[in-house]
Amino acid sequence: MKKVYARPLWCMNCHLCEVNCIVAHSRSRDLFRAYKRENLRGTARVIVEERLPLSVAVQCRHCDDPACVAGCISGAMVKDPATGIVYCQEDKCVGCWTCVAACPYGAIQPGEKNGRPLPLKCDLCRETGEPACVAGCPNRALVWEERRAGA
Amino acid sequence: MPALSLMPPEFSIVRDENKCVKCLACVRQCGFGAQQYDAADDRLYTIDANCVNCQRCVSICPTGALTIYKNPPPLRPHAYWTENHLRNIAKQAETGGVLLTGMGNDQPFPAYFDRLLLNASQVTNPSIDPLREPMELRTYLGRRPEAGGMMEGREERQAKTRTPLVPIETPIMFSAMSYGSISHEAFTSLARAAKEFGTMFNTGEGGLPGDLYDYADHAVVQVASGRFGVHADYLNAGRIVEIKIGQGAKPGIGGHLPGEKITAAVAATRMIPEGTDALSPAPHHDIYSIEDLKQLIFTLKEATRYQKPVSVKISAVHNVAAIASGIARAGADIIAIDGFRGGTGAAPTMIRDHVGIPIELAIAAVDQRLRDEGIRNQISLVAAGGFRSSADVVKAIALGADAVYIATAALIALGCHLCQKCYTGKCSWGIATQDPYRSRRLNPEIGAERLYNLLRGWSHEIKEMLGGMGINSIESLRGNRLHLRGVGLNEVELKLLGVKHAGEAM
Amino acid sequence: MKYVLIGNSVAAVNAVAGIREYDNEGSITIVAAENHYAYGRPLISYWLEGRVPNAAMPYRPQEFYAQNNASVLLGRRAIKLDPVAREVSLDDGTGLPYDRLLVATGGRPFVPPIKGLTPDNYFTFVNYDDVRRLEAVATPGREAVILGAGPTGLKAMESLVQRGVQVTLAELADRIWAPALDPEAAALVAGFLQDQGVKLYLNDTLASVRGMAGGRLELQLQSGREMTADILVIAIGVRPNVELLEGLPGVTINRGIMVGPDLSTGLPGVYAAGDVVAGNPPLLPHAAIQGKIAGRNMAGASETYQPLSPYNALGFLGLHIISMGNSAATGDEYDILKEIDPVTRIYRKLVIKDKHLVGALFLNKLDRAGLYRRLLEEGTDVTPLQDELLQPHFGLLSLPEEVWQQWLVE
Repeated sequence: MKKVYARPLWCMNCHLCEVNCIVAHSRSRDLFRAYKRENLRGTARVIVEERLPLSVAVQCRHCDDPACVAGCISGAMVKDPATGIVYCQEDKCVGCWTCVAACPYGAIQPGEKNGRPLPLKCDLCRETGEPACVAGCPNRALVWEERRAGA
Repeated sequence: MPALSLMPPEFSIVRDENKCVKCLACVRQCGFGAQQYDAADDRLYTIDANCVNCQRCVSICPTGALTIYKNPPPLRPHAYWTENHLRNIAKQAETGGVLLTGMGNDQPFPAYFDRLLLNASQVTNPSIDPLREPMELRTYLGRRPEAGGMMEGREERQAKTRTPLVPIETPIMFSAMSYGSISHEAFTSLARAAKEFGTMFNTGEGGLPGDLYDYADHAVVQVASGRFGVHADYLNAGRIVEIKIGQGAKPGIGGHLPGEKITAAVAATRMIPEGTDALSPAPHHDIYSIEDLKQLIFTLKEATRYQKPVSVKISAVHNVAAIASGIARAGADIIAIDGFRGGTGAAPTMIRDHVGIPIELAIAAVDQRLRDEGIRNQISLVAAGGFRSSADVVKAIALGADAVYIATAALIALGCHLCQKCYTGKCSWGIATQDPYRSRRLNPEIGAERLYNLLRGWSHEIKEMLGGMGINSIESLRGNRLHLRGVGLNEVELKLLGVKHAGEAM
Repeated sequence: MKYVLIGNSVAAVNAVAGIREYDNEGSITIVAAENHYAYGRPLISYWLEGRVPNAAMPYRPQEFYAQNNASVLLGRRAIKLDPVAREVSLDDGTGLPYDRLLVATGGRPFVPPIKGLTPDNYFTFVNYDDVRRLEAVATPGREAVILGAGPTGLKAMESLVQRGVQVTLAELADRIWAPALDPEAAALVAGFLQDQGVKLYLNDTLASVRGMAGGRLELQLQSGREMTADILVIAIGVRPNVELLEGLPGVTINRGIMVGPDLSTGLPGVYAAGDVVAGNPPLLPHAAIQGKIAGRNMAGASETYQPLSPYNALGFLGLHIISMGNSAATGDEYDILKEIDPVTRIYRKLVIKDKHLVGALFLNKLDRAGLYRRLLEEGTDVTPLQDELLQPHFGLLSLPEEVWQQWLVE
């Protein structure tokens, strides 16, 4: 499947992937509204780790046998058999955070949106088609590509 | 910093709080500590005194919330005591040092390119549409065989010592910028773009990094007074060998790359100890005459078995024509002349701004002198120093150049905003820095694409201009000063440039 | 191929998915003791609180069974297994022949013999039906006593508190959720519960129950303490439902069913997964993974179940806990790294033994918890990381470069 791969050699620590992620997952899909009206600051589904000069955007690897899906108590977290995308059906999530404990990359963070729990994890922008973090990365430190067959 | 700074900050950074979403990209990207964040108060603020107006924050800001303004002059406007003078004096009163700067001469000297206009065909001769008809931009660099009247046996001897011509697909090459003065990423971008477009990049005086030898067939490898990174494999890997005598931004003086920029990789490439200052002497200590230069030229030709044309690069100075003649007679295959607008990673401000002459006049003078002496056709003339557009390139070729070197324009394509702080090593754009946190901002994949695009765009434009003049080959434009007219130039200038004034007929 | 799955919870549902990865033809029959399609069992407390409606209870969408061509017999129990004839008998007398059988019968709440306890004067907290019964009685102002302050008791406590019930927890151990919390962490949680108005009696348990007029209960604790309550919930653990395999030759039962690395039981074609398996912590992620692997193996794969350390995420009344491995460990044989903020009740603790992370506990700050779990599961030598482990920036980049480079391209 096509996944987002980070190329830390070119990550320049601007964190714009986080900004683009937040906007892509906002109701309005508008930068200003996402931050100023929907109050989504801090809800990025990608984690930019910093260990300067190194930095890297860490996000869900969409595992073949996802531990978060296995651990999900409500059945909210699923892996789409057609696309391979692991995502959370947000209306089913109860915020137990088993997924947070399960993820072998620490790529799921507990979050909240409109008073409801929301696991902050990459869904490869399944609703819009192209991952916003990749499209908006100014230095091509993130790429969206097929690297191995199957999966 | 002194307790009392005599000068207010040069720039003000203004943040539109209505737009700012506090993503902090500006803080993370500012190379000079002008953008700050106070986590305790969740507050962004600026230290304007640190701002160099490199525009990195403005460019990276996803909401367009930032604008940098030039502050009004610290005194009432004064045509003689300009702001630059005041700031420089205040700085020197604090430091007692030589003023340093980067990039090229920014003073309002005349730009002759802007006083020259090109011709076009109308009715009596047809113009050519480059989209429909072939248009040749390929240029060959190097020494041509001498015209007849040769002595017995000389032709044979000459054939043995004649270096091959080097074709370039567009008359634009990347000028010398050493690894060390620019980042590995910037250097790689230039090398890749040159190879992909079929032109040359120039290593500058810092050698060629080991991982870039794949690009060496598109490299002009420089030999400068410090002889950094010069060895037999280096010379033989390159396509052209260039002896650097001078540089347009700082004629007559040497170079100084501070030890902080001599990282392990730079040190290995330059073959000097890590962390030591790399000092290039002002002269080559083995060159005190044209005869000495000839020795070095042939030493290099011998070392490369006459397979590499040798170029000699000099600054455009007052006596440039006579020097160029000497260089041609000393056996050089290419003369590169760097005008006073040429850039640099670091130069004393006074030198940069007050030494040397405009490249337009130098081209005309050298071309004319070599023609007068009947040797113009033997040698290629490459002009450098401040080419801002394809029109400048076309005008330079019409004045007599074979090709041009661009560097400042290339850096601008890579993101440079001419803040002139190259010498600090803090370049926010990842160009003039060896700090990996900064240099990684310049992904050479993107850099090479941008440079390629620039070459492509300029080359298209050159074809358009040639076609308009009814010329289908760049070679036919060379030295064709009838295609140029001056505007607003006095008689001396017109005479030196060898052009008629606009309005004068053929 | 005929597949029969006894049980219809997490292990069985994942087994269906596992089977279908390899076999799209065989018939699958699920025998479900409850009258519900599979639901997320831990959701019952959320249901009782009203945070999860009936419609959101199913663990998989209704189409799941049809899509996977699995038929479900609701409300049926398997009462006898004939491993020679390869047939299971159900409580309605029907016989189900099988080629592959999965025993995923789970566990049932353990209810100790207590004087005065009758099936109608206490509740357990395991099934959908348990909370449906509780819903009728858990009304604002009533009082409840919960026996057991482990995860089940704490989730029961939360849902009752949210319904306006005054809750008292009685725990035989000296602290809350003793297998996961060390005394320090347990004290932080106890303080939190106190602030929420929950009473807590430690080192104590129920001695006797007596019904009073008006339906109230009079309870006496072992310590002699006496109290009255409207609701009694017993949440002191589960016991595996092993009866179906009991006494069959080739099967070993040791509190649960003993299984091989491929999750086979020793009877031909019979596998087991989930809470019924001996030595398996009764935790949902473990059941899900076992179910998936058992399903694949039943359909011809040969996967090995790598025993997984227990891990648990538990949240109640706004406090969140993640525990993994030997999270409660104390003592000199361990190197223990800690971060404590009593005000925000943040507690982060890593247990290191012989260079390896063997346990971790996080209260109210769960950042990158899964990363620690991976280090624990993979047995990484964490000695070089000691100074990094609890730093706020701990992440992939804290690991050796060859490791994180590899992880990034996985």
